[in-house]
Amino acid sequence: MNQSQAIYFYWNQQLIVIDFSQPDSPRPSTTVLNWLRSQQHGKGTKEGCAEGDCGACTVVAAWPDEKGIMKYHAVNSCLIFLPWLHGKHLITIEGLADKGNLHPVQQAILDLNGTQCGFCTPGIIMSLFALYKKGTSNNREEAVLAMSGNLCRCTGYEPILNAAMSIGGFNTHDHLAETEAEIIGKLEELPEAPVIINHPEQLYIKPANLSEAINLKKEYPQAVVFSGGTDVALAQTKKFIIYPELIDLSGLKELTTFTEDISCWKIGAALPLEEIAKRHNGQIPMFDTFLKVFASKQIRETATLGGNIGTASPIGDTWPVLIALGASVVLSGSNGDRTIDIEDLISGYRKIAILPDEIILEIVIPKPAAEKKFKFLKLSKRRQMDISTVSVAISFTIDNKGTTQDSVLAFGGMSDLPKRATNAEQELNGHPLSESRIEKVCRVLQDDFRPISDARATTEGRMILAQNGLKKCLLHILTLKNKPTHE
Amino acid sequence: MNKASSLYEPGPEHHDSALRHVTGQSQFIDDLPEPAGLLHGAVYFSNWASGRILSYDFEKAFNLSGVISVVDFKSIRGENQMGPVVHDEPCLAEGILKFRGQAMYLVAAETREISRQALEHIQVKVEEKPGIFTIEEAIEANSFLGPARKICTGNPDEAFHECDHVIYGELNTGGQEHWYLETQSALCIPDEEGRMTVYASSQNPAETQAIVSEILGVSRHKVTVVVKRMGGAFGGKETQGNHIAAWAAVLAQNTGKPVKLRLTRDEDQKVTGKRHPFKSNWQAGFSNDGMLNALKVNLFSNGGAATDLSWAIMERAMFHIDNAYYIPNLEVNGRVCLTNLPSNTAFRGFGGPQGMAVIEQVMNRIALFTGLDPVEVRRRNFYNKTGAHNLTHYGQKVERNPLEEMASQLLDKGDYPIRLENVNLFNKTHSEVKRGIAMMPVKFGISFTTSFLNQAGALVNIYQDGSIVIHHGGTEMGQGLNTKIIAIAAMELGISANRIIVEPTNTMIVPNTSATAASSGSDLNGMAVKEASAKLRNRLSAIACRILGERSRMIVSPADLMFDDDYVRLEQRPEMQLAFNDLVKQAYLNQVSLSATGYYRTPGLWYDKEIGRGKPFHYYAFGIALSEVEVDLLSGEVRTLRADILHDVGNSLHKAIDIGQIQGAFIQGIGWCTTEELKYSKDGKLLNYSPDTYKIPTIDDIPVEFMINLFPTGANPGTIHGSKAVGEPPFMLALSVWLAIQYALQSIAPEKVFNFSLPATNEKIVKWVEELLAD
Repeated sequence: MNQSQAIYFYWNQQLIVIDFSQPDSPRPSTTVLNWLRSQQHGKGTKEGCAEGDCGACTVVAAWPDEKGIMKYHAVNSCLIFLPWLHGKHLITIEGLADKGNLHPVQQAILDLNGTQCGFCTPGIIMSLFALYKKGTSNNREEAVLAMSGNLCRCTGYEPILNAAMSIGGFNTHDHLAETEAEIIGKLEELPEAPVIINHPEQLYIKPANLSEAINLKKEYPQAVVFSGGTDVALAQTKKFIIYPELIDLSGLKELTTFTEDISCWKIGAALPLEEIAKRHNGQIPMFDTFLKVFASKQIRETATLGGNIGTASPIGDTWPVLIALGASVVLSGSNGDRTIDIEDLISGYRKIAILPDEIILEIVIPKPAAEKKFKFLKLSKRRQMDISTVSVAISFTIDNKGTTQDSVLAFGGMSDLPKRATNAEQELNGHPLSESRIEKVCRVLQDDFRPISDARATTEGRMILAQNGLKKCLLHILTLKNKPTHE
Repeated sequence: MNKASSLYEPGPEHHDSALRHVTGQSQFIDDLPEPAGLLHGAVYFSNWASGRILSYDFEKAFNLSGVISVVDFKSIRGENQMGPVVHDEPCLAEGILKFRGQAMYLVAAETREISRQALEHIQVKVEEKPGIFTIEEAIEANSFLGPARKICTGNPDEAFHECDHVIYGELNTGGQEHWYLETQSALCIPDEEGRMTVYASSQNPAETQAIVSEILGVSRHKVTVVVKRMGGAFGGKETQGNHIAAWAAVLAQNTGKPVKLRLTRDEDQKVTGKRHPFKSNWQAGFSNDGMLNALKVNLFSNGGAATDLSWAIMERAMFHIDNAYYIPNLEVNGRVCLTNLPSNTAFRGFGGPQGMAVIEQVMNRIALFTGLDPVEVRRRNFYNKTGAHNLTHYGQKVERNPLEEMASQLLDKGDYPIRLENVNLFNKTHSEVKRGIAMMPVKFGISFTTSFLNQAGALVNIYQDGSIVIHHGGTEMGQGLNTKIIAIAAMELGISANRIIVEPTNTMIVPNTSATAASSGSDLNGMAVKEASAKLRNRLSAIACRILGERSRMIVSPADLMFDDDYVRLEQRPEMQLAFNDLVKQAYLNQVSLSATGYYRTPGLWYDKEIGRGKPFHYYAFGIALSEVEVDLLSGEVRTLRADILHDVGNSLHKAIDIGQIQGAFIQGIGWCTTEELKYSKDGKLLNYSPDTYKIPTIDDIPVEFMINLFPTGANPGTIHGSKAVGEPPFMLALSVWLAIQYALQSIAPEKVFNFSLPATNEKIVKWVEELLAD
């Protein structure tokens, strides 16, 4: 076990060492944003909300992928703890201009008047920078998806969108590209990350492998376990609560795999959602649709399936999808692995049936038969970067007699748990799919749920949205019937 | 890492801070270098909407390591008041609680984190009382702020009898959270002799100075308020930035240490005032051909627990109840409701949007009733005729009204007839998704309706090397005021913009200024800067006359001079020239003052509240929009497919900045009309106080096609370079999106009146669809 208490990373091409054993060293769970803003040249990165909803704090972290190619990820620095930076190159607004020349994305925002009050601008520019480094065509949809995690209240976005669309053309060259190979080399030479950081205010554990993780979880049963941290960080950033013990599973090799065989896909619990989007290559039903509307680009860069399952939120977008897919979850503990059906995993409001020494290892999604139909729909007040008012994921087969069978109608936001609409499922099963059948099924939904009234919608509004959502999904499949499709 | 100093300098065609914005060098309050010994402030806000404080205990909080001070109202050495118009807002609660979010106690601590943790340890006992939260509850309880106001022209009650048709309606429009990106912040640094320097995020530094000095119990000359820039404001920092400065100042005075107070996003959303929700009921009489002859409207606004600017906001709503339409018989009554919510405040449009929403509903209902095209109904009712037909209900004449011309150009460029037909065809062939199209004019009065506020000051200093510093009373919140100010001075002195910088607004340098509000920032401060620059130019001219006279052996008078291109030349003999730098140097050597103040007041404004007559506005700004939307009837999702805007800015002071204001205001308006909804529990608790539940537009919510053009109305008389204000007017153009949604929904049941309101959220849309589909 590594006894060092120091993390190493590069910030705008300079080596930074933070040794948590030094007096006055920051607490390990200090957010990257707060650390940056405590530095003399780090105040360009702004705090707009401290909850990942505005993107003013967006920074870019770069590290080589499995092929050794440097990848640039836009993330919310307000939701990331310092140890996550270990072995990475952190790029902030201060590091973009080079010797009297603005970076092309800065130039584009300036030329097109994409800034007014300027508070959101550094974050906007960092998101644009990540988009630029992706080397894409930057069509409108791509630009919108890349920028939807950044709020601007002044410009009305039009000039920002124009800037985003003007920097494309697959050109990724800039001054950072010139030193990229050198930085990759330097990153590889950095020492190992510390496993246990024993800071006076906090014990921060970052296991180096799975067995270590399981052992440490057993040893520290009170510790809060997380990976992306996009949920756990909120207690600290919004309520000023400091967790005394944290176990950070981010980047753990055994938890960031993506494998596929004849019968299923297996997704590591700590694999960030953006990685899943890349690796599943459009194959897993509904995934592309739900990943596009899951939070924002920045959040998806760190948030994981395991995390979303672990928080077991009634409005977590992954739950209905995984239920409709018939997924199961592999839990790993000191007595070995066990597999549990996703529906059996949830045990109460924001609770899952997991033993103290267990961690979520991976999610197994069975490959569906070709005739299986799927559809996911998220109903929210705003299209992008919103939490579901209601989400619905459905699956069923149509047998050779044209009868609907084995339907799963899974809902988020309709109960204190993500839940199946069993009455509606019965109404759907055993009948041919038709418009009149759909009407009946949607009506029966009223027997399945009694949703709450809250900040997102009223009881009545939720029910209408759920019925309409289900109707939309079923109508969509009805229209596409007889065509081979996954969605 | 400080490489950017040598960076490429953007030209005057861009925002003067653009380079610093894109490189992250622009400083906001929280970015300022922290003075030694800085403490962090926190406020204990009431969690009770109404009640009486029985007891409180700071001991546990005070004993927390790192906590330096915990104070209540007794630590206020001056007056415990921060109401800007009426003294009905205590700085810290004294026994009585009137709303959730009312400041009760203050904490100063070594870190921001500790300051917030300390709040959890303050123990308070309160006898809670039931509160009043909605307009309906306030009306029921007869709970109002100030007197009822009325403006009346003609005699609507009689006129209704002569109308072909009389209809009634009711409209609710929702509040709106400002959601400036920079939360309310202030840094106060105490100095000797009880002086205090306040770095504020305030649209109104002079008022911040006044309130801070009254609370500290010192004269105003001991309080200096400095505003470099704000990270957005939109009216939210017109009065309520004062509160944060006041709380920080109380802590700084009591501890003798610098104190920074920056609200968290949740605190900001919970405790600050918002756009006023309005409720109105109306009665409209019109003819078969859709001419609106008589209108009676009762407006109620939710003012919250204190007066703040509510009266002026109601007044502006009443002034804009006609929008762009001539209504010969019109009575509008306004009442501000007193409730147990944080005091609602200024927000871009300042009551204008709420007033206009009502008349636009009336127009839609007339169209629905008569079967006429809503666009046609609107055009028929435009002010654009002769004589008395151009007189508003408060007696001001609508002059140089370009609306009819703008409408025909917009409808023509926007292919309106064809698109209307396509929309109708689309709706016939689609059942799940409907489209709507709507046109909406805006006529917005420019000036503070409190006439004396229409004044501004400036100070322009020229240094011996020909570089210039400008101070003026306006504040920069991203709207580009300083960029326009630079352009105005550069034009006046015939020099390049890069010679000029605008310094932070500072109450010690330009005193007694008004808020940068009412869209009037460049109108007022631009004139003051022009006057100061002209004084300097006159002084320089005298020197130039002498020097160029000697050189050319001619008698040169100022009228012969041409200031241009960083030179002064003889107009007739341009080779006779003097570089601006040399001229300045000569002026100095000749003992000429190179510093001048400027002052401006808008002439001829008056308004008598009692009789509802006057000339409250210097002029009107006009705009017109045509928007097309697609509404998913099942999910309630709305997409704005296209928006065409024609806007009148007179002779634009700065085209890029004006277009930016129009784009930004329109999208902010779309937010108010669609996704931005404030939700409260039955007992008045704001439920969506953070951005995860309160939804302002994202980049995905802007029109797919967004066409903005400036309409060439020519020079606006009596304003700075013939320009017109632009900050607020385009906000209201977004009502066209709301009206287009109504058109789309109406297509389900073309005859049916339904309970349309604002905002049109996804949830409300699916409910309206049910209502319209029900038999």
